Amino acid sequence: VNAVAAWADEPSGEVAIVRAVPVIFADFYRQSRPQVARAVAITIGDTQLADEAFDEAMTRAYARWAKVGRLDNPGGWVYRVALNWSRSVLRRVRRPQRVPHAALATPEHVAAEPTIARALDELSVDHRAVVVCRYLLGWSEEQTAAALGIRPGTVKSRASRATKQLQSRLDHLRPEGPR
Amino acid sequence: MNYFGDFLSDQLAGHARSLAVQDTPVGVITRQGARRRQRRRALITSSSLVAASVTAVGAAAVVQRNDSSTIVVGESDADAISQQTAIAESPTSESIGSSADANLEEPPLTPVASNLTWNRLDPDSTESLGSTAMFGPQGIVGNGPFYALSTSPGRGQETTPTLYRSTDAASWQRVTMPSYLPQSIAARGDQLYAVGTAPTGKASVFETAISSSLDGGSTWSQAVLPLNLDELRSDPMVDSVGTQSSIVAGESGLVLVTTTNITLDPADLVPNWPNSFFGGYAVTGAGLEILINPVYGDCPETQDEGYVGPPTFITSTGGSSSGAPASPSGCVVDPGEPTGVPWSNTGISAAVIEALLRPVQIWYSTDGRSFAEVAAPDTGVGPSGTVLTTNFGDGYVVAYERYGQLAADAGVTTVLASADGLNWTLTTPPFAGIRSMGEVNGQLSVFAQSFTAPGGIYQNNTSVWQTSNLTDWSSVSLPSLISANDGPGAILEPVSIGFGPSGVAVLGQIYLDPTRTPDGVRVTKDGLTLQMLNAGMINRLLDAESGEILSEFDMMKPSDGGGFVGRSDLGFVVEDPRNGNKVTFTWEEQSAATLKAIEPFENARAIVLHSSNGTDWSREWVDEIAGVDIGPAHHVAMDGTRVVIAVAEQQPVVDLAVGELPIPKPILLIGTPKE
Repeated sequence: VNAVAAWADEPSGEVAIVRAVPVIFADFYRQSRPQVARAVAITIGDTQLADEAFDEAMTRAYARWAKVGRLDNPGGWVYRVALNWSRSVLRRVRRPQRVPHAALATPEHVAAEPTIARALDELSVDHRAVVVCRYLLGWSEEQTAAALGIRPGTVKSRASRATKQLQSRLDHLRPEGPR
Repeated sequence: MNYFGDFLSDQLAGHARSLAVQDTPVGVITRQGARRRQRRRALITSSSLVAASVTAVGAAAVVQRNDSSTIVVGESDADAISQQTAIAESPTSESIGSSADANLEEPPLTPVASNLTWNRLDPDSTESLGSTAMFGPQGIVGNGPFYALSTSPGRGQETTPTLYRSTDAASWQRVTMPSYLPQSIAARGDQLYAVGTAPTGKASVFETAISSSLDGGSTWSQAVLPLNLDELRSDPMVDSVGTQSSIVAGESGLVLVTTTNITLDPADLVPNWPNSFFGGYAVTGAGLEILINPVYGDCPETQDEGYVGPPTFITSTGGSSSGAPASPSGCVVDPGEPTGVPWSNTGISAAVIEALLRPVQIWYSTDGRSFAEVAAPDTGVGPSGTVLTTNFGDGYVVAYERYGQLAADAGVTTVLASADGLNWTLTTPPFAGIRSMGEVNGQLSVFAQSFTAPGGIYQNNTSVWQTSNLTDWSSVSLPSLISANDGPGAILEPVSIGFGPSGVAVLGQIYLDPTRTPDGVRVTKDGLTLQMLNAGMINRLLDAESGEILSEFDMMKPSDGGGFVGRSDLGFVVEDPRNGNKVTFTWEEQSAATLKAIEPFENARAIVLHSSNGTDWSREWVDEIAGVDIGPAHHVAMDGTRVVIAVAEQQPVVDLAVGELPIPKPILLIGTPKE
């Protein structure tokens, strides 16, 4: 797809690389749901709220699909809206205490190495968001910055700090053992 | 990525796989999104400024309202992306549901038999016109050769914008594109013209380019319109500058219309900018009106479709903006200190102020290479969201809709006509919400969408208006073509419209939404039934056994007769007025009942409406024409004699954990008028 920047001078002031033609919403939805909804769940530590947030973000995306569908990374848009929506709900609504990441997995699913969940719990949401975008969703620093509304340099610094902390917790899992 | 990065990715992927996420059907999302879009438009139009979501953080979005003007509100980047230029997008972006049930007083229109003979083309087999989509409101331009901006042909996900040329409108050949994606193209014989925003080589800086080709799109020359965008951008109060343009070629020359949209960075004027959820500014003829972020007290939750909190703007003229829903009982709103700022005190340059207040600029050229700005009638202040051009007889018509600076200007559609492209006269048509227009058999034909909210029922009016003299207009309301046989709560969502010598064609989708029927959706609990009448945003409390209406209330406030106690984190709290018993209908219960009601009607069905004269309309199901189930409807265009529809086959639902989505198969349907 040819990337064009016809809307880069949007009112948002963000440099948004946009596609000439939007992807089909239904395709985007089906492809991104398993990945982005889980990414939001890991970031906020609440699968139920993440489901609600993802639905909310996707609903907004559909309502604005002529623009969102042309973005270089519409998944980043959805992730950010879902994250913001989740945070506003958490701020305003007294919800049951957040479930630790280690307990998020359902019994019928094979739990991942629990240490990763505990290590994620020790990160702030901001740092966890960067880790999720960079290492789970595989987005570039620029894409992560656009998705989170922060500078690429901030992505780099947060990623550095977060991975340093995670490494200290997870190094023992390296196949060759801790250094 | 280093070793630890790879390791971390693997661990995160494993952790993610262990999480069970729900699988909401895409139809539920699209239905909610369409409703949201409809509601947002309705709310914006009716000045009920719910559109500012407290869930959002960040940059600005321009919305419109009737009572004051262009408003930049703190909203999510998400919202910001969509609002300002959405109406200049492809018609799909403007597709908003129109419900027969919401238009209860709309008399049904009896459709006539179609006069089109349809032929299905497989884009695999020929260099045909595009695959899954076409661009812009214009469709096919020129009277021969024909030109169209579309996607690349053939099957697949490849949707590169491609410019086509055809001498017979049947077989199409690709020609060279300008160095940018045009917003508009025009043709006069083999002279082809394009206008759009072209990159300058500097990040996020664009210029408005006009390009011409004298050899049918083989080679192009390009010039920059003297809009002085760099001067506007250099003002420290300016955050971004964009332009929208439309061009038309006539017998005497070319008419080009441009509008410049400026977003300010009013950090020194708006408190807590840009993180203020509700704060922002409004542009008026006198200056900037500052919208202040209200401070809330101990408010009960007012969550409604994701909008949380009392949706109230505080304006510099004092108090809340008119039309905003009342704050819930017990919610304290601090209006803060109103601070309107006259232009002279804003520090904004004269050039920027002039551009902010100017609806459009009209340019004329006889050769397509040099364009001179011509005087336009004084049509009031305010930039335009939509700019359109078309031929009309031997002359030209320019139409635009201001999103307003002063109360009387907001949402006003203006039509300018000229016989020579140099001298323009002003007419004000009897409709708002102009979306696209064209010439049909000597008539100017306009597709318009507007919203009203009589009695609180949000009503989307999609109409085709026609005139032969720019004074006397007639119209047909498209929802009047919905039939009772279409199903419960049928909603027509126009997707695309095309104009041409053989008439007007509308490609749309029919949704069935039983929640909008007069009976609505019911939830019963503890001897009481909550009847949700979604078409009117009204709720009734019924006796579960007898069905007796005990009370009626809307989404926000109690009725005089009682019954509605309030909204809590859990849902609606109601009270049986006969005995005082309180019952909470939770959001989950309401949502489950709604989802259950609409689940059988998840998929929309594509429909094509066609009229040769703008008065008598036929309607045909696209899947019956194509002979297969149809997925998303994309675009309709009209060439000299035919109706061209681009759609795609319905895709099967695929579990992405075990398989990949198949490539959607594009289909072209060609309708030829019967002899």
